[in-house]
Amino acid sequence: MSSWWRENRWWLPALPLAVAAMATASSYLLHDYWWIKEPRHEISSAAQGHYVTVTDDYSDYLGTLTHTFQVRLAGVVEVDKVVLDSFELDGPQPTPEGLQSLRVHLDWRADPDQILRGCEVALVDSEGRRYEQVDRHASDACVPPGRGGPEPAAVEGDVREVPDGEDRPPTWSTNPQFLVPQGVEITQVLVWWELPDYVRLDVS
Amino acid sequence: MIGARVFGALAVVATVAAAQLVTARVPVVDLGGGGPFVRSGELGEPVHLSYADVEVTDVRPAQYLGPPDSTALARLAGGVWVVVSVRLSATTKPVSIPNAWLVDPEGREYLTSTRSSCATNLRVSTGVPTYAVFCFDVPPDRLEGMHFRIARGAFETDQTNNDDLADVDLGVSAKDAETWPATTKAYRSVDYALEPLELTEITLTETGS
Repeated sequence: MSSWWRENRWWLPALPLAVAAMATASSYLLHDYWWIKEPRHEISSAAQGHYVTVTDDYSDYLGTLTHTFQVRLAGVVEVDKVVLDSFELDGPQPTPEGLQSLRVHLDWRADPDQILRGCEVALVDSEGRRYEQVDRHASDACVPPGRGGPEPAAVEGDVREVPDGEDRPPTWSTNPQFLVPQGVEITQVLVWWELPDYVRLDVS
Repeated sequence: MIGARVFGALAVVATVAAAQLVTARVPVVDLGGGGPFVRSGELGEPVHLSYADVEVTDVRPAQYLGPPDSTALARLAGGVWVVVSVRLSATTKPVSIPNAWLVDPEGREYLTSTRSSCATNLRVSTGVPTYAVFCFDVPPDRLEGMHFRIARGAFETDQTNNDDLADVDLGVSAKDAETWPATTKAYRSVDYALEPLELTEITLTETGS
């Protein structure tokens, strides 16, 4: 061994560690700008017709909280009409040409004290394309309308509590609606509260 | 040995200082990560971006834009209203389009007018066409050669860099640029819909002062 190699025998193995530390320090924005922007971390999954028990962490103004629930995909069915915007008074409209309107039937079970408002539901087709609800003002996709149970604390001064008369039953169903192009094959339903964690329900 | 190490350390410090000097003082060094990836197209021709398909389907001038509420006052253009109808659909996942803008041949840029009630902050669904109308108030002498631009990054904060951007030649000719400022057309403002939008020409009525 030459004197140079002997002299640097400790620094050479430290070099890849230094490079790794540099790369880590330079990638601190990956979390905020990439990791939490998409559903990337599957926390539970189930086949259609089967309940899956989910325990998931998410955060509100007061900090991190955990909720536990069961969800089952009862089915995905095509319907004739679609509500494009719940704020409009026109009611359901005929499905636009070239598209199909799908209604997802989800069955839920949870203790009434579990906070379940504010979820997102999306469909994924066989090509990996993701579809979200087109109705920007649709009611919450994971709790019954008007009986959503406890609310998270959104801003300073809020408390986690059930608004008057909005106690949630122990079991319920929701039916979020989607528009997708005709001919696509929906293979998955994704449910999430705080990305990147999501629940996958397979369509059969 | 110590002298060599001191010299090496000083060389590293000197190199870093020189690099800092170059990046801070020499204007040709662009550390912004490069500009957007411009995908060009023309009126009536789809432009395929990595995240969406965009097609400008119509462009027309107007003197007035009427708000959606037919009893509200119409908006008179400071220059000329340029009303651009666009068909958009997301490719693989829903995408937010915060804004669109026009750019003239000299590079001056014109954002959508906040005085109109036209489209802004769109959420475009996957595979589902969204028909949007963007409205710009443009100086009458800047119409010729105008291009329409749209991207998913915010234009005002330079978030369009290193990402696809659609650039569509609106085909505004020298003759158009002469005749458009004299238009007296008035249209009802619309923002977006999931079915093709038809611009509705409206008749204005005077109100008392």
